Amino acid sequence: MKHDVQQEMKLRGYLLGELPLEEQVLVEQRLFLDSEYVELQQAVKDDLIDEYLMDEMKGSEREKFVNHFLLLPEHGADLKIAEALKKYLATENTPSPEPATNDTHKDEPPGFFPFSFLNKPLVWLSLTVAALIILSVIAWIAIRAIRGPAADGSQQAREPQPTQSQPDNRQQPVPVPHNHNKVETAEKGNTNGSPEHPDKPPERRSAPAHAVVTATIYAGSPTRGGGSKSKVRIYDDTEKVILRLPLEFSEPYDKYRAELLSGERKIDEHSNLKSQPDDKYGSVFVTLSADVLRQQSYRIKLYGVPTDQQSAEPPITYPFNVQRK
Amino acid sequence: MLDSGLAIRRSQHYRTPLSPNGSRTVDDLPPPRDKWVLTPESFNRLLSWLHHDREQAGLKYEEIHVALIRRFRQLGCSDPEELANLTIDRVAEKLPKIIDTYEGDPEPYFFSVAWYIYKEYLRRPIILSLARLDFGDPETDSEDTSEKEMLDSCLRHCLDQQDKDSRDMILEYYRGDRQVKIQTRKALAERLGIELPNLRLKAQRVRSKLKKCILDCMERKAKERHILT
Repeated sequence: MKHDVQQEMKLRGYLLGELPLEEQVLVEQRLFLDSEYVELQQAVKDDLIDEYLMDEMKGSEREKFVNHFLLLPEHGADLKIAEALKKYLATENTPSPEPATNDTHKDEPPGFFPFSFLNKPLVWLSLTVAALIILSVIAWIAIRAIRGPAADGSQQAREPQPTQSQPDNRQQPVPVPHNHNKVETAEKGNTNGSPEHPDKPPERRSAPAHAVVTATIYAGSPTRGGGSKSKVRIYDDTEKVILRLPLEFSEPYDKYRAELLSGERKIDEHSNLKSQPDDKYGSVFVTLSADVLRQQSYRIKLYGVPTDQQSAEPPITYPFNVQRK
Repeated sequence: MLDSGLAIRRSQHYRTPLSPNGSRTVDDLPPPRDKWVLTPESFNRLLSWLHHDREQAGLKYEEIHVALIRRFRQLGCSDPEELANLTIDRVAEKLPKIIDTYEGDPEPYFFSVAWYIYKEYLRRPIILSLARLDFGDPETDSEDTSEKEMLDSCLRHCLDQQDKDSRDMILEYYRGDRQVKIQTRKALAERLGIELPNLRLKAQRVRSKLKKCILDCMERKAKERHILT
């Protein structure tokens, strides 16, 4: 609460019985309803008591203090405690600190390096902020190192991948609309795909042209390294990649779970996926952050989550290659 | 909810009895007031003060009653309904004295009286005893002397109970005469990195904690004395 001088003067007047009844009532209403105001009143009360004890209150004000303020037993008790504290301070042998602003703190350890600046909270705040910034930078570097091509990914991107170089369309179990390589962008008119099989419309974004990329990934051979792979092109300004996975389970499930794998390493997992009835069999859409994907091969293993009455089928694998532009 | 009839409530006031010889000890509450009862006449007067239309007056009455209960509950009072009733009784009792001179809205007056009711609720017998002590009187009786000693002892004990920073701060804040105090407080505020008004609030909070500790300590010692003697 901001300490308004006027509020304090009003409280002072109230405590000394100077206010008319209507104003007194308003002050008391506020004291009853506003706990912060009570604290301010207590601070003003303490000041009044101190002034009285130090003999700084003269004339009519002193009279009002005695004849009005001290009528309340609580105020009398406050005064007695303040008197006892004053007596205690007078008899204490601890030396009073010098009021000079350049005094060193008495707890400051002697030493070569002056630590007096460490007593200022602002210094501590600045040090804390600096430490947080440094930690954030370190964490960011660590995350990039872990995700990334730390050893393999970036090199793999430059080398041809012999087991993954098969043409996209060769072994597709269903006729492949050539839009499965289509990269849809946030803005209409930039799509490369065929209009007859539009993918799920991308999100509208105002600035980046390839903020959202969608692609359909078809199930490949269950054996590792075999089967054809879809390609997913990602640009520098791509933020999200939406992968459409046409379902090929023998029966529909209420929920699905998808795992993104690179080799045997699980990179990401999505649960509680629901099928979207976009064609006869339905599809599941998995949204990935573009940061997660390097220029390399991945596969998504899709699991149907069975209910009590269903049996679990083996997962379906959707292999794909990521190309970064 | 008010009906067309009259709702009369009676508040219960419980007081501890005085000791047989009429003397007062630390544990005695102040002498009981004459029990005041809300009569139909006083209740009608209260309602017509709230609003000339009886329906509207009834609604306002209920709003105020509910607001009082809510606030007493927020303040942690053990029986908010009783305190709200007590407040309304007190307003009705005082109304004849103020009705001709008071020019403000009626509603704030209820909360103003509630503030006093709340302070009475918080009041402890030890406060009355403490308020009566006279440090300046050289001819204090033995009971007063022992209470002064109790206060000094409790003050020292409670200062020791505070954490070092609070203790040092409060002692530094109140040390010295006027000029020294002003400079000391400025330096203290600067050292703590806060503004002077915030330092004052900080000191007030520590002082409130100290006061509560002292009152608890004095009550405890007073009870021990009664047990032992």
